[in-house]
Formats: sequence, structure tokens, C-alpha cells
Amino acid sequence: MDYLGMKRIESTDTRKPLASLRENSVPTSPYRRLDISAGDSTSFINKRIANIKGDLAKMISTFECPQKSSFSIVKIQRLVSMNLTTPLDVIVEPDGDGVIANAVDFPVYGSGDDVIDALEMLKRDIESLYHDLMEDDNLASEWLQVKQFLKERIIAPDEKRQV
Amino acid sequence: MKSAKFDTHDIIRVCKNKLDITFRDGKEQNGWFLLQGVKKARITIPKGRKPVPLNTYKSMARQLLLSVDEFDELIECTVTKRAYEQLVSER
Repeated sequence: MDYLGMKRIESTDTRKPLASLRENSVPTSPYRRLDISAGDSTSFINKRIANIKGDLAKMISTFECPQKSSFSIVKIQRLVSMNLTTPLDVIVEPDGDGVIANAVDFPVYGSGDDVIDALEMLKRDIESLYHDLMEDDNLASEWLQVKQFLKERIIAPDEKRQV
Repeated sequence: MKSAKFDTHDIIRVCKNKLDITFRDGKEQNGWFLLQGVKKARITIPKGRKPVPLNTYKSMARQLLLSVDEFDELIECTVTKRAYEQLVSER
């Protein structure tokens, strides 16, 4: 007994609690199972901590870096020189070192170094498509539908002046 | 998917020579594929010779009403204009 009335623990006794924990424990998860031999408990625990740190780092990176496979849907409110009656849906996603923006309702895309560039190209190409479609009706049925769709969505500059 | 093998000039060359698409110059190059004289598909190709990233390649295939594998074959010249016409006439 020491001066505080507590039993003095010899250096060999420090391993007892860990050894008894191993014998009595019921593993409920991979991290709670302490399969410890008396001789290497410290290195075992350090190894387990390192493993847990590695697993946590992987989990965190999954949440922090989803951009590899991520995409977003944005609405464009107007084109370069034309306005829209209602916004157009666009899917924006990474593409190599840049970005691609695809119109949802018809097969037109814009690409660029960043989102702004890609959306600018897309807007120019939608206007270009609009002019192409307005030239005549020598179009396959799916393009006639796109033409009708764009006529309802786009306010051409001359129409705007009339209003 | 063979997008890494081809650049924009390869795709323009095939569109012009095989599909008889005439491109209009602008900030981007647009052209229509005519099926029996009717505008059937419209492709956009960015200006300048550069490699085509994966998703841009997919979008070009979509514009020509093709799957990526069919687009590969078109660019590699294993699909003829006649075969392409047959493919897209059903779509």
C-alpha cells in the first residue's frame, strides 16, 4: 500500500487489465475488438489508430471531393442577345480539364475552361440553332418540335421591340 | 470509347468527307446532316485542333444520333455513309 492507501501496481501488473479485456470482451464492431497480446499492446493500439485515421481520411475525401463524378443542373435565364420567356435547364459537369454544359431539352452543348465559358458557348449555340431553325421547315420531325419549343421560349430582338 | 485517339480535326474531316456536312464558320463550327434532303442531325465542333474530352465526345455522338461505340466506328471509317443513313433513319 502506498501513502494514499492504494495498492501499488507493479510494472508487470499493467498488462492485466488489457489481457482481461481481451478475454471478456464481446466484439461488436471491428474497432472494438481488441485482440491484444500482452507483449505488443502499445504497437497494436498505434497500428489500429493509424488504420482508423486512414479510414477516416478516405471517408472525408469522399465527401470533400465529389467533383470527379458530380454534375449540377443550372437554369439559364437569358441568351447572349435574346431573352427567354422561361429559363432553360442545363446540365453542367466536368469534362477533362474543362467543363461541358448540355441543354436538357435538345442536343446542344457548350464547352470551355470553366462554367462561364461553357455556358457562354452554349448560349451562342442555342441562338445559332434558333436562327438555323427559323430559316425554313426543311427539318426532321424532332427538329420541328425543337423549333416549336424554342419559339415558345425565346423572345427574338425584333419581337422585343414590338412589345 | 476512343475519344483520346481523335482530335477536332479528325471529326470535322469525317463529317465533311463521309457525311457531306457543310460547316458554317463562327465561334464554333456547326453543320447539318441531311437525310434525303431533310435536316436530320446537327453537330457542333469547337474551333481549333485539340483533343476531344470524354463528355464532349459523348455530346457529339448524341448530336449525330449515335451511341459512343457507333460514333467510334464512324470516325474510324468502319461505318459507311449508307450504314449511317440506315442507322439514323430509324431514330
